[in-house]
Amino acid sequence: MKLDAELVEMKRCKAKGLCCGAGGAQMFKEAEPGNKEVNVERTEDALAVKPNIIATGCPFCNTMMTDGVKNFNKEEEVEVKDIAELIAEAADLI
Amino acid sequence: MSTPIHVPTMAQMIASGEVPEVLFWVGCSGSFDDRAKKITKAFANILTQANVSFAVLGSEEGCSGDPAKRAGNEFLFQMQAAQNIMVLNGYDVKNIVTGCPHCFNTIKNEYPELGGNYNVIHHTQFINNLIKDGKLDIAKNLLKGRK
Repeated sequence: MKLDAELVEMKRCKAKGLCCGAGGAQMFKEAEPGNKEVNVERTEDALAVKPNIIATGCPFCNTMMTDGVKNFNKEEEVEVKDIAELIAEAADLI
Repeated sequence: MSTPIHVPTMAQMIASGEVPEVLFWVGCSGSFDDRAKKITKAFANILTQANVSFAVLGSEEGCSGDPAKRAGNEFLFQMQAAQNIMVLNGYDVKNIVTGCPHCFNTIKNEYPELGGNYNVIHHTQFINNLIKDGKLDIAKNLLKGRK
């Protein structure tokens, strides 16, 4: 990758990665019993590494992370973008 | 940017006697969600810039059936899958790039047993291949020092 961005994985990643919540249909239905929304829990993981941009490869994760970022009122500081958008920007296409 | 790009449908491509390299499977989010539409446009721009011959199904694209299957409605899934496989096989589609990992998984892993065999690739992998093959130059505007 020629994108000169520092890529940081969240602490829970790969085999230990946590779903954004949309995979469990939390985007479409009432939350399961518990004390926290899944996307809020996952956004905490993302914000813990202090990113400027949260990159996603899925439109549903994008929605969930965007909502999560808004939950913490961080939408001014942290952008949620698809990898296709980052590449299109880097190639001056947007 | 802002030069309009032409995105043909499979129907238009086949009617003009062309066969696209790859079918861009947009998915429900990329088609209907206002935020995700921007991602679809970004990817279509990338494909155009890289001179990839591609087409979409347009109104012939139906739900992949993933939400129905995940929710346990196998009957609905098989109906939706059968409809899509009929369209895809009708156009003799070989290569599919998806804008969404849910469509990717369903088409790649669950369509074969229903008679839909395609080379399916996720848009991030496709972009990576374009960059590796030197078809896309992203050196102009590096995201310097950001993460």
